[in-house]
Amino acid sequence: MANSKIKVTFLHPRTSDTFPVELGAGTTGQKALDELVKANFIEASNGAMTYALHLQRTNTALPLAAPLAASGAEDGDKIGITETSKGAGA
Amino acid sequence: MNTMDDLFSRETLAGNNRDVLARAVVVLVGCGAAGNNLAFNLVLSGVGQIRFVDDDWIEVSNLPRAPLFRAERMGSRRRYKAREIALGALAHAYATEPTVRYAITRIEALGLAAFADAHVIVSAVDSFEIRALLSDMASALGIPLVEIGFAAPRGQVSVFPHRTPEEPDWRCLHPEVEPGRYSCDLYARAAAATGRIAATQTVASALASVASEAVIRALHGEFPLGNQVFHLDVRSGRSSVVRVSRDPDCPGVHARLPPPVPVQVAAVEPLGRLLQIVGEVLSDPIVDLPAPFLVQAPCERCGRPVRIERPIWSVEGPPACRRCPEREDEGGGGRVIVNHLDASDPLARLSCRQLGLPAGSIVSCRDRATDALYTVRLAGGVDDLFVTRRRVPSPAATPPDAPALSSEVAP
Repeated sequence: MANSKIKVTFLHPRTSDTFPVELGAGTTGQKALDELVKANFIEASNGAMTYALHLQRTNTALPLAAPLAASGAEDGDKIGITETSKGAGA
Repeated sequence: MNTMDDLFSRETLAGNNRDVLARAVVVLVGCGAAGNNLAFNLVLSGVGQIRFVDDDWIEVSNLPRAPLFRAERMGSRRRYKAREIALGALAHAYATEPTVRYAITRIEALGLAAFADAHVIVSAVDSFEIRALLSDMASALGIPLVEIGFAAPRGQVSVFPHRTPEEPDWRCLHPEVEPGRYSCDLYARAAAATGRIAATQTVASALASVASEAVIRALHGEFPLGNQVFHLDVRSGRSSVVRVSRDPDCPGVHARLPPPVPVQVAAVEPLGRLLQIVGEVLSDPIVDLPAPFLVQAPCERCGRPVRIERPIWSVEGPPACRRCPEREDEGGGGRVIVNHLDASDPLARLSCRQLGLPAGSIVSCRDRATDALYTVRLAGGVDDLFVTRRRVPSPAATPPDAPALSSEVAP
């Protein structure tokens, strides 16, 4: 099972847009985010914010450095993208 | 006659214990819009002591998001955020004997002593690097951390109770932190140029309210938002709460510092004296510095070594020789950084403060042979680190409606 792929759907942080993809077993959260940026699904993170991922089924955050499958993502899962803001509004 | 019970009657019904809040000590790092709205809520709620940390000046454009800065004090003189927020907080405080403390400095200059006796640490800063530092400090001390951040109409509040070292911390969510400070002012200008929305009072107050309630609940030992991140878009009304799990590869501390042993060594004394005292317990002691110490770096013009001898966080920009001759490509003066020192190191002649260990610092010492950890606490404490202002108690059991008298004590 370690080499099997899983189909998941990423949810846009601000709109109701979705992005279905097939992930390799070793695809990390950061790699997935990089690909979503390349595909113009989300903007590149800028100086003001960065992205985080969470598994909608369990509502838990997914570490970006670890493979998503190893962090609990399964076939058919929806993965939410959230923006984490750096600023505190000076 | 109105009493303090009348004053907080609604809050008491809502579950707040005014004695708990009056005894509370909250350290609030970052005195911008988030810090202002948070502090405003906390002092109105009766929190007894807030310590403010920020080294930045107030800009006129800060005022619409800063209920505790007073426009009439702006004038032509530049004002520090930490001082103005402290004065504003004291003016609005409803605790019986409110105290505010402020430090116009970078957080790295304060050391753990500024936090060690706090009940909650609040990160309202504009830098991921400082968030990571605060997370590590809070985790090492076992103190709850409430974090807030926002840009445009969106933002987040996260709460990490740190009840045990095994619990998740902020760094489980952000294992990689790019160094450097982020400027809200620069972001606001860039946002304006591209038609985006910079921070506004509405998002600041909404998220600060959630963060303030998290602080108040934490002071009561309750963590309804513990180990979770609350996201809000004030414009669309969309919100979500995400749980954070412990990342087994988290670079955060996830360990408690052993209780420090007090030593009669002042921050102005040489580190060598501290090592001498610690040498009575550890056979071959080394001191772990709280931040990398830059001994020397190459001159940016000629490449020759320039003696720096400062903690790396306090060095701004590349160094240059005082009398730099023409460029010499074979200068050969590389950067020299140390992270720990022993008694034989010539740098041990420097004072603890010069090495980044201010008054009251909790210092980690290790035995070179056995790696045994021994923590000590330098003489001094918060009174040496913060300017303190207190309001003289108003007549017994009377809400503070009389003109406030205050005293200011500087370190």
